[in-house]
Amino acid sequence: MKPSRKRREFETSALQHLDALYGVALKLTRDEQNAKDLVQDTYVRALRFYDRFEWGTNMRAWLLRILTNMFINRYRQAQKEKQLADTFLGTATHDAILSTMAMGQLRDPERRVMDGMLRDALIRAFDELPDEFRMTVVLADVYGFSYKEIAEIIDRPIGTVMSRLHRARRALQEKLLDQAVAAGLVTTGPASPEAPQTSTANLAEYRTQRRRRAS
Amino acid sequence: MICKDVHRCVHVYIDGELTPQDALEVEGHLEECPRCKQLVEFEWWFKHQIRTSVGSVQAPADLSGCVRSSLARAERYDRVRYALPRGGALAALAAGVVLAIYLPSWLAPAPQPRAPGRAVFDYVAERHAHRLPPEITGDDEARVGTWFQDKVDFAVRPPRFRNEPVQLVGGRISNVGDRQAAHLFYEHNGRPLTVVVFQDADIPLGGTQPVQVGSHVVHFGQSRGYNVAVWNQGGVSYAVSSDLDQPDMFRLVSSVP
Repeated sequence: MKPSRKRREFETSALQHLDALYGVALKLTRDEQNAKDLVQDTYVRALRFYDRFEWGTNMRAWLLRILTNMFINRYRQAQKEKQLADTFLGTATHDAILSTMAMGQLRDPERRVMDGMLRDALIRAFDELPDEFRMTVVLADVYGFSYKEIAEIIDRPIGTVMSRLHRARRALQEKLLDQAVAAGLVTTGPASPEAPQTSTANLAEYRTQRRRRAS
Repeated sequence: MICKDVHRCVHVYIDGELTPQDALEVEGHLEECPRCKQLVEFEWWFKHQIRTSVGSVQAPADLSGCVRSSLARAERYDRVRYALPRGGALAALAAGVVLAIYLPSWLAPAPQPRAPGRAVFDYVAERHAHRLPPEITGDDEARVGTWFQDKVDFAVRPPRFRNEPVQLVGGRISNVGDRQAAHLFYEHNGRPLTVVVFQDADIPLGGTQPVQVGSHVVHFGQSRGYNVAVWNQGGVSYAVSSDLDQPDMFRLVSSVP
């Protein structure tokens, strides 16, 4: 059967984003076959709703929004996942910042600590993040979406995006440091006495304080 | 700006999401504070590590072809389905014409070898695919149920999907094989969902294995690209059909008390 004009148009503009959709699907499902299924179903759904796509807006973001919704509906057992995320949030609040020395040792190009084992540790730690956090990190750090776009894709406020990124990166850094210390690659603990402890990325608070100081 | 402020907004800064004014203030502080400068450089480096470790991937070579065939298949089904009118005698007439034109060219050329006794799944998916106009409309389960009272010889109680975005929109008389059936029209998040209620008999279920879903024993199958879940409650069979996936279908079924 001859494809309709709508389908031809859709395929031309939407299939350009196949790699990105598959990449995100693979990070979410952690399984190649499930990722392929998710991508195919996303395209079918997107074609059905193609009339609602607003020209001039970001098509990749629109497709990813459909994909993440489908993923959440299909693979996530709502209750179980919610508990996981809550636990994750609970444990991440102490928010240790690496010491100056640890940061230096990890980054030291001579020591090349990130080349082998630690890179694997980082990937493992990433895979263990709860779905919502993994999704946010992939969208921001791998695909370079803005906070506003991520907020639209995952249908959450920008504040949630900021807080998820902040917590996810801190959690990843902690795990990485644990591994590095255990392997003797870094010779210092996580807590840095001189570093201020912060609970979350909070710009509003900073602005309030700035106004207070200015007045 | 003081160190504490930089620590607070370091991720927003490296993501390039600070306002120009805030970013200038951060940069002013970084010029004076080597410790914060090191933190920012570390966060940059770490963001880069995530990008390179987690990395972007290329889709497998066959995926593009698979997607194109899925789209072609979906379009074929949707053309038949959405070509159908939603109400009125003229529209019903048009439906006949549309079916007469489309059915032979799109559905008929792909005769699937039918497993013996897939009758229920086929009938129900067919009802879902070819939505005829409702004879009664409304979202009141009791009223729609009562409408069937003198029309079928069993009690029709339109199921309620608790805490799910499913709404009854109407119903009409139908059949499953030679049995009378109540065809109920629902919408799930604005998408059509069909429930067919019929008196249980020896209508085959295609030899599928029953699965326990919530308090129901469910037979699950596919026909015409739609999923169908069938269960029995008080001697009456309920069959749900939609384009939802199996887990979503099961969640819906388990929400029926």
